[in-house]
Amino acid sequence: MEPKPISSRRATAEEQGADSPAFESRVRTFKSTLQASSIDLQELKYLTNSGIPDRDGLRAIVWKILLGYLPPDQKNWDRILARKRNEYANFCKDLIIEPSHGSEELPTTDDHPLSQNTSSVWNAYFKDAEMHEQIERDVMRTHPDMHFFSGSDGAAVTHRKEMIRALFIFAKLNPGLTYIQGMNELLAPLYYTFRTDIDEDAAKHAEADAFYCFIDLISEFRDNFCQSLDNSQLGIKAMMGRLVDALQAADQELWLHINIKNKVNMQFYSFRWITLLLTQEFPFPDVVRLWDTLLSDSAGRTKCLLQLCVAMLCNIRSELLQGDFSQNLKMLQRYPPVDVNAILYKAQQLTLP
Amino acid sequence: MKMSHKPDDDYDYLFKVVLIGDSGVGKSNLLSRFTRNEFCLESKSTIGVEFATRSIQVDGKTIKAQIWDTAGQERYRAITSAYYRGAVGALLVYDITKTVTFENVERWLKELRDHADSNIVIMLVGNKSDLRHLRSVQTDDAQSFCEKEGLSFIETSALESTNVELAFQRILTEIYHIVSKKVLGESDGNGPKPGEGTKIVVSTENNEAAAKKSGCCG
Repeated sequence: MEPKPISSRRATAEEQGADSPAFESRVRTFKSTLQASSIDLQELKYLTNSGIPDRDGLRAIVWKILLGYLPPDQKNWDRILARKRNEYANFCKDLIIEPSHGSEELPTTDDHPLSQNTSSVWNAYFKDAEMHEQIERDVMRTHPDMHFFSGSDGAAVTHRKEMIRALFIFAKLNPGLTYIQGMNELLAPLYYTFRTDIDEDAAKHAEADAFYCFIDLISEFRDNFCQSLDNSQLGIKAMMGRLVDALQAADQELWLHINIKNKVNMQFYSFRWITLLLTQEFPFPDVVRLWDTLLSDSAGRTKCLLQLCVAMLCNIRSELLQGDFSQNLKMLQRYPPVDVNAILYKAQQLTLP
Repeated sequence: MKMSHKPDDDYDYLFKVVLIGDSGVGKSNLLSRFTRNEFCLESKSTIGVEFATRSIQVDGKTIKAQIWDTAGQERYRAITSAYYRGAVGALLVYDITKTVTFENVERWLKELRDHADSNIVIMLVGNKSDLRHLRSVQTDDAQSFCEKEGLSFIETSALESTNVELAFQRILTEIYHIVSKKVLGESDGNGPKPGEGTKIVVSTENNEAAAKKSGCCG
């Protein structure tokens, strides 16, 4: 990862932007759209599609609305938030198994740590422990370059603890899916955005809020994580197939070069692009910007994601056309530093079937 | 950065080697240590597959190693089975401080038997040898397991850079010797019997062939 060039370029652009009348006017437009007692969703999506100004916690509110956590009708917000946050607290209480308590309630002779009985509380506890360990290992490795996630101070430790718990609760509530590696990467932008909200009261509840928004986000993409659907029309392989078709339609020459001449299998790079919604391909501020568009796109999130993937390929087409198999693959697995606005612009120009 | 003085496509042999083993045993760090001389204490978890190359010299020949690193979690196995295609070597990695990762070695061997070429050269790698005080898998146990299974064995530390170079050197040399012996055998008119196949030589499917010189692109 070489995040420097983009991060710094973006920062400069944003700093300049922050002083500019255009930026201020965008902030005002967002605020006035959000002030309506019943927010116009179409209007909000339209505005968000070209990026949310990094100011006054706007992104936290807008994402919560776009992910269906907050309804357009503002008068219900306090009530809904209180209910959801309370519900989440109860999940935490109910779902984190403590076997010593369990065995008090269920004093069966079969319930001891060495039991082979699969319904044993201890057995469930060990299974949970294994899953918990996997989640912990991945959360520890989330954005190792960002202090927020990987620092050693109390705040960063709390952030990791909360992310681990949210993923664990999700896995417990979704036994058909459980925890799949990479889910940590999808939770991270949500959690970060809500945790750094300037509204301190909301920031305190980032864990619960991110948990519910994560559920909404993953409901659209859960099939990609589902091994039993891999070979179906719904699974990840079908998604990658759609991407090949889209590339062929958009740029026949590039498709011929990558897929036919060099035989670079889409699986080797787009698997990660798709399942992780591009979170490992760009520096964090760029990911957040891409997500503004992804979450608000009128064509739908899946289609928008495919458009962004095709745009990523087209954006470095001349480099790709010069490369052989290993040069292509290295470049696609470590996407070169670029201005994401170029990718967003290209994606917009594409019309996918 | 560049380990070889020769250009990227100038090599005598191309060998595809896969890194497999449980999540968190250090596969990605072995890869980055060998190909880029880098190590991250907390590197991102690998989703899908990652790919890197490096060329080394064996007996005056340039061997380009194409190394594939895969995700450890069960869910990703089905998807990654395509990555075994054409692989002539596998580094099966476990963590010397986590017994369960050693116990799972048998499952990984089965995975290789199911998906990889039967002639694939396998080396068992006990990684994180720097964590001496946390060791839970004894060297002797791993060693005798390998003798029983007919695997090569080495302990490494990607963090301290111990034996990483040697591990790759050894497996690539072993593959090279098998390949060059087969080539010799063939010229003696004493080649493999029908059905035995010499597939191990070539990285089929996706890309540049193992015994190169196909007038490849620039």
